[in-house]
Amino acid sequence: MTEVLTQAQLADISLVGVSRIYELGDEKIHALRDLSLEIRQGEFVAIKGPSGSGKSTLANVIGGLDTPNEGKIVVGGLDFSKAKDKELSHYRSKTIGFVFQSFNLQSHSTVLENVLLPLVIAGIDKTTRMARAKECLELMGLLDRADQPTNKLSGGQRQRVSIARALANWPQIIIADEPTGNLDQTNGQIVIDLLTKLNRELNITLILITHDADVAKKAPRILEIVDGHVTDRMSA
Amino acid sequence: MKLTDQLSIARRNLKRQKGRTRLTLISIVIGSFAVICVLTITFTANKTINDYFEKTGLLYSIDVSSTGSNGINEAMVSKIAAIPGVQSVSPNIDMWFYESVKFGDNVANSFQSGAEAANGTTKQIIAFGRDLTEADTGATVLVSKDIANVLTDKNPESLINQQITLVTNSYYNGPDQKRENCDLQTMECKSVEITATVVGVNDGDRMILFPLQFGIDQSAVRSFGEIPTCQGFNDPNATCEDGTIIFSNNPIKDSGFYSLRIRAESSEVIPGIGEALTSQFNMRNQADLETDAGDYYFMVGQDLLKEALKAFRVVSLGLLAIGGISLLVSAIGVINTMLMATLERTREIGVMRAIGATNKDVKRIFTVEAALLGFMGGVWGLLFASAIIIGLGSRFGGSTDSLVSIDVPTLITSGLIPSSIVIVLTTVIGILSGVLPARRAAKLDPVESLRYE
Repeated sequence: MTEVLTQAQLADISLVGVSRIYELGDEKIHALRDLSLEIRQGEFVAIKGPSGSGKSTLANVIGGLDTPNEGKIVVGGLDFSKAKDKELSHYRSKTIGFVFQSFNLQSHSTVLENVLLPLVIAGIDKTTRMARAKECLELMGLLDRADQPTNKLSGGQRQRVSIARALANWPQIIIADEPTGNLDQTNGQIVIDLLTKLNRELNITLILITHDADVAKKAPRILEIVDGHVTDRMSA
Repeated sequence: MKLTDQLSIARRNLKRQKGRTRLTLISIVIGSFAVICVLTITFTANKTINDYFEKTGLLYSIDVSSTGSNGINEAMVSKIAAIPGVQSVSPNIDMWFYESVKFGDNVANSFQSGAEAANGTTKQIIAFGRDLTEADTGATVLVSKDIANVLTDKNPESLINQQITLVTNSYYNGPDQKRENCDLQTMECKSVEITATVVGVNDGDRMILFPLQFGIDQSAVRSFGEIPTCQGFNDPNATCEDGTIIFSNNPIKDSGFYSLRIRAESSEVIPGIGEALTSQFNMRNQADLETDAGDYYFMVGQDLLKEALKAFRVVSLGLLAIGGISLLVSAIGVINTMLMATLERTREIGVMRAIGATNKDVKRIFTVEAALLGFMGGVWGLLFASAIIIGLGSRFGGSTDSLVSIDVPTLITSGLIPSSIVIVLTTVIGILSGVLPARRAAKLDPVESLRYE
């Protein structure tokens, strides 16, 4: 835990006038419309909205996976519009941790190999990465499953592996896109508790994408997206 | 991302699709196997031919032949020997009149017999016994190992100092022919048996070699005519015995030798000797097709080697082209495999991009995978080719019956080791085949990839 905290630096998120338009044939779909917002380091923000409202698009542009058509995104001083592929990849590697609804684990690989992958990509040496991967698995209570293939795990366990993977490179921000979407209520609750714990204890910014109002309520701040427009409000 | 990690990922990815990887590897193995076999044969044969020319002195030899009207007489032989750069000369005599050779119950039929000076003009590679020397003038012979094997049931060494019997054909009219053997109407004679002592066994090819003087003596021609009585017969060119006139002449002594071999001191002096032969004796180089035929022509050993290698190179290139086509087919296999992998791993590529992989990282992972396929295909191809070539080499190579023997160590050092360059070739082919799929993988949009089902 201490190690993660010492690695953390301020990674405030700033979006100014961001628009993302998809073209489907002749039709133009405005996923995000002139969106501006600020998220401070260590915040827990839920992004809520119906399907197709632009929640995932917002997560993707903040995560540097998608490029807006207009507007400016700056995270931890990195201006995305000026960043090259290498800088954005480094940002995704070191600053961001993604947690996906469908886990996106390598099913043929073991739990440990999945958690090691971001560390391998980041070029971390073997000894350090092994220690770090085991540390992350221990945090998620999965160290005893390290050598199991992920396809032998339950949905809840897989999502915890996914969180361990997201945590591997000491990120300052975790973007969780519908992390409970494929889980039952009990496992969903466990995952949300783990994520909020990471936010609370490690000061990791948590951006939680969900269409579930009850899940969103766990966050102190909720961004509601409808047709690409955002309403920013504090949770009741 | 470190290269060792990329290799490790590539290896794991290839293991995931064992069946497809194996099939792709087989196609590369076939291609590399074909190319390695062709290259090994070409390299080994080139080395062996060069070695043979070097060992026998053919590399430094010039063969002079008469076109028929004038032979090469003793005076001319002396003049040629005096040309600067000439180390030695030796006339060659074709002793065409021996039909078979016998030793005990064994008979060998198909061979060439000849005579030449034992002055090192042609180097004999002696397997057993000794070479002919200038002191040998009578019926002493050097027998090639293949003939000796036939005569001794594969114990050629046992032939040394033994007497073999040479049987002449029906056209032999030499000094050992007798009147009573011959039909004076048809001028055909019965075979005559001539005994000779074997002094050595060499690495020649179906050859029996006599001393030059014996060859000259045996080239004498006797012809017979009937006469009622020898009384009063007086012809300086013939003798008369019991009612038979025996005309005797020796075309070599009268007209000269039909052919001659020159050994040059080094390969550098050969052009100068050629020029001297042309200017002093009006000879033409056989390789020079534009010059009119004179009384003599000559052939340079190096030109023969070049021609032999040129012909061999054409065959090799043809075989290499076939091997190349196999490699091209395997390259298409690699492209197909990698494109399939790109498609199958689209979502995985998206995840890798999401956790920090750059375009270059993705490109490298696929390129390293393709290179690994090429490398492994090359290595397996080399292993298979080595096993088969060494196996065949052990079975058939280094034959004692063969003039140009190819043994296993030569196959390995001259053929297989240089041929291992094919591993580099297959790896490069792998890399090149991986370029398109790798580029396609790197260009995938991460968001679209993550959505890919």
